[in-house]
Amino acid sequence: MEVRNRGLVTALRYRGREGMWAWLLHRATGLGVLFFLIIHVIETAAVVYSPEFYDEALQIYKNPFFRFAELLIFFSVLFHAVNGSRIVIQDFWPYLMERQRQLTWAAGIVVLLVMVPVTWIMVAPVFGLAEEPGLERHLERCVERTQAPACLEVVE
Amino acid sequence: MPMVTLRIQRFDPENDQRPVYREYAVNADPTDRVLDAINSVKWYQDGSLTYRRSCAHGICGSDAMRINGANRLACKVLIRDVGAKVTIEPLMGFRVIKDLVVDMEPFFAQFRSVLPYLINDEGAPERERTQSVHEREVYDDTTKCILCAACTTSCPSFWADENFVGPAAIVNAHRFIFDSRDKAAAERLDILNDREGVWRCRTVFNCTEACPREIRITKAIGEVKKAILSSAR
Ligand code: HEM
Ligand code: FES
Repeated sequence: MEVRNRGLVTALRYRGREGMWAWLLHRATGLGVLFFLIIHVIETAAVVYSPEFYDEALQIYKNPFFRFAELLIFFSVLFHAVNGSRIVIQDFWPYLMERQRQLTWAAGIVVLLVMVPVTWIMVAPVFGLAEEPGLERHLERCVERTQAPACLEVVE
Repeated sequence: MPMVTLRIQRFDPENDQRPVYREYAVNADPTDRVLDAINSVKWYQDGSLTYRRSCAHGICGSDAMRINGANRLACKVLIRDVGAKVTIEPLMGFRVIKDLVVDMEPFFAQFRSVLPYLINDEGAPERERTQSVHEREVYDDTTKCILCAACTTSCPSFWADENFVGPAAIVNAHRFIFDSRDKAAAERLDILNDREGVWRCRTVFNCTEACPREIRITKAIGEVKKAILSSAR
């Protein structure tokens, strides 16, 4: 029998450092964003093929659960972009790789700094701590279009 | 002397269906090397424990193994740096022959594939081929490799694809590509300009972190990638 230590569990147990975790997260977020975009394209195309389905989908997205899912998507795109820029910079100037751990931490800190206000903006309204962004404009529009699906619950 | 527990992955191809972990308690000083603790198991508890070591001083490259999850030379890691319970496993990706011994033949085949020797068909000069300090400097880091395979077997790209030439071979190609006396840089760059060459590298830095000689491996790979791109222009 041939034995090689190379299974997924064995691999995930490898004690790599900053670079390995950044790479894993880069791949996970890249695949995650790709998966999201595929679903997003299908569901947006439904506005042409099946408007009722599209309206229904939009209603589902109002569930607070999706606010957290959207936050995760935002994080994924942000991390992938910032960390991807780090990789590009390292590729152009290899001598910077002597500081690879610091560069990875720097990318992480940039991501964190952006996440703080964005998390507040996206999540605070779910807990009633702030007004839903764009609410005012939405209400104005509903004055005229009372039958629009997004306005039904507001108007009654 | 304090007790240290070694948890060692054992595999005997003649008797075992799959690898098993066995624990051994040994006396070890904090300043002992992990290799000393392994020797103590072999010499006083279980003579069948199989592993490679030769110089015991970090220069022959024989005893690279996975210690507490990361690739290290057992002769360079001290007990005080690994704690009272140490997990020891063979290097990843290569076939396990027995216990901690893996088949290094494919590793040396990767090494040979990049022409790791000086190539210069110009007539021999009257005296030595001189180099400036700077010319020597550009490949100094990659002369330090001891071919222990800690880097190649720490690389996720290699775990997933055994045909990937691997960081160690690229390091040794770098050592000659950037040597001003060598004339075969273009040939080596052509060999490495391949799906299974430098482009499998995803800059994970596991190799750089694993190298017992502290070679900046990922940086060297990056320099080879750049050399390929600028020679293609
Ligand atoms: C914001 C702009 C983006 C930048 C700056 C960027 C940057 C990068 C870079 C530099 C890599 C190579 C990583 C490496 O060599 O280790 C990469 C890989 C990848 N990207 Fe992006 N990317 C971006 C957007 C996207 C988008 C929108 C998607 C999904 C649709 C995506 C999916 C992926 C995937 C799946 C990989 C492969 C990951 C891997 O090989 O580990 N990227 N990205
Ligand atoms: S025994 Fe020679 S490098 Fe460790």
